[in-house]
Amino acid sequence: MALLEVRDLVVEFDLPGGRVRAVDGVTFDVGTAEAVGLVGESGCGKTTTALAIMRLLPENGRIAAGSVLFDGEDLVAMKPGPLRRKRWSDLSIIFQGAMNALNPVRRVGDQVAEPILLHEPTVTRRGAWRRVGELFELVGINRDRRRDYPHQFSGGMRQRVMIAMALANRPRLVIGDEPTTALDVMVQAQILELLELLRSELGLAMILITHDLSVISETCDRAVVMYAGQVAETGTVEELYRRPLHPYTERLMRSVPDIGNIRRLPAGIPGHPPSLVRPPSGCRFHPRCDHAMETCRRTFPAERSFEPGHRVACHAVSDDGRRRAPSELPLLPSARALAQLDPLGEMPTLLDGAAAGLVAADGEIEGISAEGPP
Amino acid sequence: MGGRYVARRLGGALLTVLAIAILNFFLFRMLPGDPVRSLLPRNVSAQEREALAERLGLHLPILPGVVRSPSGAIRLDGSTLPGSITENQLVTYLTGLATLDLGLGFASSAPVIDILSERFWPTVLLVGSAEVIALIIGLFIGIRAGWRRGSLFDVLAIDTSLVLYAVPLFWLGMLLFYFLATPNGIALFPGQQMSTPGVVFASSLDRAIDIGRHLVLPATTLALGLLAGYALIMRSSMVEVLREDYITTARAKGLKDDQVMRRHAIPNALLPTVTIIALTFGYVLGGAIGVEEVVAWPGMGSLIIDAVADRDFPVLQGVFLVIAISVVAANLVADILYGMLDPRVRT
Amino acid sequence: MRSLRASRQGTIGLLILGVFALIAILGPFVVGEIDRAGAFASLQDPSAAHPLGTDRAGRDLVTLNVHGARVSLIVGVVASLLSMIIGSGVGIIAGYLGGRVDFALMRITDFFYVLPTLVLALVLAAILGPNLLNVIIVIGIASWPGTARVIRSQTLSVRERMFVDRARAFGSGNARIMMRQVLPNVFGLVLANTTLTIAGAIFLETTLSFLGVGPRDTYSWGRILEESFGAGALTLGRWAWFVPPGLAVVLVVLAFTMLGAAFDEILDPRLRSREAYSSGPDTGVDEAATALPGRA
Repeated sequence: MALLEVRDLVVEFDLPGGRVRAVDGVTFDVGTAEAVGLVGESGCGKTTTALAIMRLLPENGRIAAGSVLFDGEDLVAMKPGPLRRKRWSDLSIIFQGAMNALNPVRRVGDQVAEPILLHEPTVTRRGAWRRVGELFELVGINRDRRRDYPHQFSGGMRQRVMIAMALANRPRLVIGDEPTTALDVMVQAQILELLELLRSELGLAMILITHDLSVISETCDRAVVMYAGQVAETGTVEELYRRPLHPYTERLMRSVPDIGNIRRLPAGIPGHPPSLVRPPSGCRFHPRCDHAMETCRRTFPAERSFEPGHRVACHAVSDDGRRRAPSELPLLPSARALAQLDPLGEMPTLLDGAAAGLVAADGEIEGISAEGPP
Repeated sequence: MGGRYVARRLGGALLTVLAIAILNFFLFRMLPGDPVRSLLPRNVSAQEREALAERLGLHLPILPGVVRSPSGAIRLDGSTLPGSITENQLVTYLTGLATLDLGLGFASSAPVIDILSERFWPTVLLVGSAEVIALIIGLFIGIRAGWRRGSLFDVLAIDTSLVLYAVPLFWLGMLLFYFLATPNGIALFPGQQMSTPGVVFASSLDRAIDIGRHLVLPATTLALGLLAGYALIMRSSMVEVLREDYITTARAKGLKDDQVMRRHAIPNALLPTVTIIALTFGYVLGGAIGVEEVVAWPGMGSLIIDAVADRDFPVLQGVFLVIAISVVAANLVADILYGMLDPRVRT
Repeated sequence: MRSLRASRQGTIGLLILGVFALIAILGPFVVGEIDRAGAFASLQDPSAAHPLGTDRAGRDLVTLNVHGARVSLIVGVVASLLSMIIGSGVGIIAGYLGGRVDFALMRITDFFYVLPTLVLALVLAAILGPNLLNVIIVIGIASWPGTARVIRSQTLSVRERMFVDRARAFGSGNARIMMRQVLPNVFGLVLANTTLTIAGAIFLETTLSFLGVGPRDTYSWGRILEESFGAGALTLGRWAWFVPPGLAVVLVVLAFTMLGAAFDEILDPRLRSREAYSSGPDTGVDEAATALPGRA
């Protein structure tokens, strides 16, 4: 039994425009001391999943179905009291952009000490303060800065404060929501190194949420690729790089600039992520997929498992764990246009596509709408 | 907290006070048509008026080289220099201010400074008690409404506050007076003045209670008008603050709702509220004027009305100065308070 | 217009104002001129002939109130127009030119903003004399700082936008740019602000009249209140004399406030987009609460 088991999680939001399923049937595991990456484009539901796990959804959101088992206990069904006790002491979260995640009018030391004093009543104020000092040292901040206020720190330092705070109660799982996005590359590297160090030293399990694949490759053992609120593919980082089964995963992997090959620009993925109010029918990726068939438009592909621990939901994948090439498949017209534009393996650029008249100025493929069948 | 911060604020306040004093001067002496003369009492002989004018220094040049002709027009007159550099109305005025000599009132011939101090404390009492009540109730309502946004309490609170905010305070005073201080309603409170006239009190306590009874009506009126504004501001402040990430962080740490509210939401929501409270201090004083008039409360508000009616310009000038300075002082206090609450402005 | 009607607040506000505008414009023709003193018996109770009774001088109160509507509304609108023109002018110039001009203008504006409006207005009214024109001027002068600040910050954000730079590249003079580019973009905010300013102006005029420095040559609601108070309507139990004018002011001010809030909601994209992901049910009250008009 894994430390964290998310099963068929469904999260809904009430928006002025209608009800939206931001997360629609997400399943994955996180083992003890394991680092799992949650990858996908903006709006695919990664952050929402994280918030749902911690039961921190805003007022207009709710977990509509599914379970989140932490050490065997279902967090979704838990009552507020026990849930609050679990918070931070068992699982904590580092938010995106620590700019606003710290209370601007309280000293950082007080804020880091707060969960300690809250969850461990036997600890004195002085004891907690001492521990804050240790935590600061751990993450590379001068102890003397405990009395400072958030605005006196730079972005990178603030993120370190957040990390120190997240570790205050020695949790078993830490969720990092884009922990390095707002930072410049040098600081980014430092923070990632720190996280990796902490993981190995403290035996922490981590969920790292990001849209940046280089981050995943550096720090994670496994990754979960999400698209439009659903899981496209799950597997070890190595597998996903070497043998991406889902067409989306492959494009994602290829969209990282290759510094060795300066001439070639990254391909990118034509089109936009779909609106979740009325998502595309069947497989949600089919309007942007160059492997799309009629069945992709009709039915949602069931998830299938392959060795080792590699799961994917895609019709184009054969039963022996191989993705069939577009030429082998009865493609939809949209898929054919895409295959023509950017056959995997060639990597022409979007500019070529525009020149060929197939891609509109805003990136939309001519003749395709992301909204689903007309 | 940084002494430099306070010093800077204090300096700014003093400058503003000086600017107000000068504005006060121009208000009364430089406007076209010679308003000062027009404000002299009408019911005295021409000679007495001239004597009064001279006593007020109106015969001197207004500024170095600037005089007012008999017809009332302002013109330059170089012949008054160089004497008028030191002997002019502005200098007289400023030196008078420095020595707290604000002249004599027309109506009573008493020193203006005495009239002002006599009327000062009743207004402080009225405004002070109204502010305290309004702050306690208004902030509480605002916090609760903001916390439970969209609830029945919230909607009711906002609608009521909006309506209250549209009510002229003096009219509200009239209504309350009608229903609570006259036989037309229930005569619960005395409606007029600050204490029952013609009564000798056995002790200070008795006198205080009597004043208290008279205070209820006007203070309640003022407080009602104020708390509406405070509730609205505090509420929208809370709503903004509750959207912030550090609130989610606080919840994520396992804090209970009221802990999140007390330790994280309210301290931040108070910041813009304090600023607004300071800015609307002028509104309070304005309301106080109307309310004092309705219940004949012997404060600065009714004084200014009397002075306007009597055309008592020294008193008018003095009251304007005092009120304006009070507002500056209130802003200063608010600034310092803000500095204590928000560490970001201190560095 | 459609989105205005969509806002429930805006609709109610518009309706109320429509009614009062009708009363103000057509009313005097319906009820006739204000009666001369002694036309009827004084201090009558409400009756079929006089739905609100009569005042001490024996004049019909309905007539007085209808005329009062006209005066109060006119003063409110014209005075705030004056205030808007001054305030917008200062705000746009300060915001657009920036630098020392901005600093100087803002010091002056802040100074006047801090002064208690009513006190300033009282003193000015006392000095200038109690007639209609003077009251309008006084209110206009006392109210412009609020507008100036708001317009200035809007101008600052408009200035950031590219088309202003393009115009400058073409060699347009500052004045031209301010008129042609800045003003139209700031206009929406000016509009929203105007409604709130009018509310404040009517409020101020009513108070000034009550305190005795209002226009002496015409009857506004405030003047009716002044006379009722002076005649002892409170102790005499003449509620029909002092309640309706006050109620009218409350309704009109409320209506303008609601309208202003509705404008804010429509015109402020920030306010609308924030509702997107993290809000609860949209009760429409948020907008009203965040738009507090400046008051004397």
